[in-house]
Amino acid sequence: MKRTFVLGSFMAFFSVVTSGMSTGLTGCVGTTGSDLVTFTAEVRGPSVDANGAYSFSTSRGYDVTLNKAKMHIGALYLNRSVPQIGIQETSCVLPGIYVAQVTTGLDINLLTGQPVPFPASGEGSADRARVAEIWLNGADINADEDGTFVLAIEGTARRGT
Amino acid sequence: MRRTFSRLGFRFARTSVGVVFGLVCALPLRAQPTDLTRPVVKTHVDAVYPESALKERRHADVEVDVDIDEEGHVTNVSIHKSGGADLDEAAMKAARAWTFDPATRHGRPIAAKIRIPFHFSPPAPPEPNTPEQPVTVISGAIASPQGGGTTSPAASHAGHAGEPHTDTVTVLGKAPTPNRGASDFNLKVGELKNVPRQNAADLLKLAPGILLTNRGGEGHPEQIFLRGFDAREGQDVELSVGGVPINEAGNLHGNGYADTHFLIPELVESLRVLEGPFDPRQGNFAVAGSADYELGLDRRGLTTRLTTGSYGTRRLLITWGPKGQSEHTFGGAEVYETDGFGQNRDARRGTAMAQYEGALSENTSFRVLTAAYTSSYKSAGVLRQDDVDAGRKRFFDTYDFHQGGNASLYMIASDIESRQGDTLLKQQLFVQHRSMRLRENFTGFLLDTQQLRQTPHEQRGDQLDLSNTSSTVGGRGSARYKTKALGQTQELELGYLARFDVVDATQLRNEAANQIPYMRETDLESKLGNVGLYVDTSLRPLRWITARGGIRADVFSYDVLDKCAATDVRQPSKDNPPGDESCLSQQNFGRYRDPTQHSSTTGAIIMPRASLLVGPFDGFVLSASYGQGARSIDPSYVTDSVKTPFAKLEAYEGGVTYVRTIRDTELSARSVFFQTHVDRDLLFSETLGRNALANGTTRTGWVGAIRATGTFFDEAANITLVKSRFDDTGLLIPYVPDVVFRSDTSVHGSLTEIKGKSLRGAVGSGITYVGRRALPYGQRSDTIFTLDASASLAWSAFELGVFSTNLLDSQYRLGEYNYTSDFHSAPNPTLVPSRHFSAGAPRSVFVTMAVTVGGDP
Repeated sequence: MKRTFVLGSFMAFFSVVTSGMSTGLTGCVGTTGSDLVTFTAEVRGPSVDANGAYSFSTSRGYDVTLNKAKMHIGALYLNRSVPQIGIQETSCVLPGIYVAQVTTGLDINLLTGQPVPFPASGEGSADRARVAEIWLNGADINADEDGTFVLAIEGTARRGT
Repeated sequence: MRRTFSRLGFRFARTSVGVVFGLVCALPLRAQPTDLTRPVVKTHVDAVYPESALKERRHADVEVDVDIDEEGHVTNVSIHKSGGADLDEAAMKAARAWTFDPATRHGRPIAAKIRIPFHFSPPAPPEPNTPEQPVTVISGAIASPQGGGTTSPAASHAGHAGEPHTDTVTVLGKAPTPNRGASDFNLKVGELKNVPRQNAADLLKLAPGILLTNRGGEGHPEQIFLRGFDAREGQDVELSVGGVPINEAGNLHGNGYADTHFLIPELVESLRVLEGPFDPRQGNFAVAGSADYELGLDRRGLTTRLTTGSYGTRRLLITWGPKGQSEHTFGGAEVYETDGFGQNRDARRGTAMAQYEGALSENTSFRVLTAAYTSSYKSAGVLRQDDVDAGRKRFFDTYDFHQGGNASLYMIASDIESRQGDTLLKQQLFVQHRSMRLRENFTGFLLDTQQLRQTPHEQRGDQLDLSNTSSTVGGRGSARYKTKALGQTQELELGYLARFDVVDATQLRNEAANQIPYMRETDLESKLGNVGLYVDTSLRPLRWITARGGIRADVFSYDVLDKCAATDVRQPSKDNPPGDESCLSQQNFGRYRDPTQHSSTTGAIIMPRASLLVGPFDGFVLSASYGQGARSIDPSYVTDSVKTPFAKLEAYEGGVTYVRTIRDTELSARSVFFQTHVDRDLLFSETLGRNALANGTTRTGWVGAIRATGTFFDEAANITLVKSRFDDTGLLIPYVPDVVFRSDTSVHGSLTEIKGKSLRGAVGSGITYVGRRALPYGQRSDTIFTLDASASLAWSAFELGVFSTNLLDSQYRLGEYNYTSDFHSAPNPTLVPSRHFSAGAPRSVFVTMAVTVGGDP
């Protein structure tokens, strides 16, 4: 069975859509259950106004309008384990709990309102994900230095209008 | 057991045409034991003077050695003295058709070996203008008086008529193990030695349903798949050599790990493969079945064999079979070296083996076997399919050039066999010392997660560095009593096995950059005991019904010192938290503890086993078997004073065997349906690098096998179909093939004659087909199809051959896996399951040359 679904607004700022994933039996290491899948993933920013700007208010009372918002995403991982502060191991790579990944990053203009596909397909197993991780890194996670700008925004912020 | 007889009488018969005759006679070496009788010829078939020899009107003597089984049938014929290719063939063809009353001891039939000389002389030339005389069949058999055992007249004749002659009759008294039905395969290598084989493990393929894979390199034991079991390197197959157990109890890489690379394949005479736990003699690890190698060397003299070929492969083999001694007396040494195909596959090994078989008395024989083996090898390990598809890696590349290992084995074993009245006594002692080191990397940079207590670090690499050293001392013995009741032979056997193993095992993780260990995962010192007793009966209420079976009981004891018992602290001290050490000296809140911990326990199991054989009816034998088996637990799972858990299994099967000799062709065929249930299986874990406990499993399948052996060919083919599933989910068991087909073919014979000696040619082929194997995440592997082939010529003392493995050069994946790894081959980590594989060998071509001196012509 194939379907398209939205992982949810794990960030209010943009959303990721995956399609082509199929559901199956729960996978378990050492058995032949579940399935391997490939899928496409897209990223889009929030809805913008007629001027191509995005406005929102913060909890501290600022009214913000963004006229430019470009972002670099290094990779996308879907995780079936919810991190819990305090007892979680500090490594950013926890083996055996990831169910999907898109390891080829992309640059996106968040203010177009249009979804932008990742340049390469994602892959994973047909298991339920509970958390998505957006990795904001540059080209190589193992590089000693990473000078990539991951977010560039321009706009105005006014308080208490 | 070897026995010699005093001179036996014979009758001499010769037709009036008188061109060919053969005879059987005996050599007076010892006084005739009163309890032994030699085979007596029942029917003989005369040799036919071949037309090819008529032109030269050759006279020649040919002597053939004939093996006779307990029923008086000829089971094997070989040339002892050659008279030329065509005359040899004629003599062998005739000898195969002879039948005998079998040799007996205490009135009970036993297998025997005799030598039959044939003298060939051409028929008288036809008179001019008269029709040519047909080639004539001549009667020439000479048999001893019925009843045997009486001394013949002094003069005996062989060769030319009237010429005095003496010869030997040798009775091989080593009692065969009673057959357990259609899944009991006594596999004589015979002419199938012409089929290319890389090592002694390859001989297992003669048994149905066996697939061998190897991702660990040339010095790493083959992974055995049998009847739906992923038996890994022996965990589910009991392997032995001449009865000496080879499985390593408590080996950290796999409990039951068995490395047969110390065996020189040219020194393997036969092997008995019993699929399923149906014989009370089968002990620990006989889950899928058992295989026992019988060693022997039929080529007498000193033989030097040199092989060279693809990828810098060189092999020098020297074997020595002293003339006049038993085939089971031999020596052999081998040196092997290869650069290996692709990256990081070079290997070297040296092996020396020797065995002596002798007689202490008329009723007692013994054997002494020694072996020494050492090897060093590198391994390419696994590759990710996506890296190959993207061109980041080539098919035969590797990620980690530090993978590989080394191994050594030193052993001595002796056995003695003696008949005391109606009882056959056997006793065997063995001592072994083995060591191995294995470095593998399945997951790249994935498992070295940052712990809170550790100094901050990046992923340092997942390379496993496993070492295992073990010493084994043990013995086994049995007493088999035979008697007559209900007009049939009834048997009762009591036996035991006792072994004690001391095992020292560690597993480290090494940094990829500098090979320095950064973590000690396991450090075990184990003392393991196993005592097994069995009772086996063979009851024949009627001539056509045989019930075999009994009870086996095993006790396993464990004394395990875990020298790295504490690797984590749930509630560490805030003032003095544990650091980077692997084996901690702290418990909760910083209290001191010793990093070691002792665990001792025992377990016992009783296992019934039985087989019912009905027949033969016109060559057909029906059989049904039931058996229970057990696999001892890995020492790493032992808990102090907790009764040792076992993997228990139950196996059922029903089958039919058909055996018949049709003209010159011995034909056997089998069909077997089977089911096996294991309550606690073991499955390979890529993250552990070894097996891990899993749930219960059931395997259901069918085996079909056929072997046809003729005068110029030998064909063995088999197919196994099996479904292997988990009991709880019904899912397929990963990595196990559900279809395995294998064909071994040899065609051989005399091509011509050069300087009075036969030029013999032989071609051989081995075909393997393996169906798609189930993989994790609902995937299937590719199929495997390979063809191996050989051709050889032999003349006098010389032999020249060429052989190729994977002749069609098919690019295949010997092992395929789905799991998560990160080899840093992409900019971002790869954290989800993906296809991995170990590459099968490409086409390889080898040339081999051999010369024998001091042996038979």
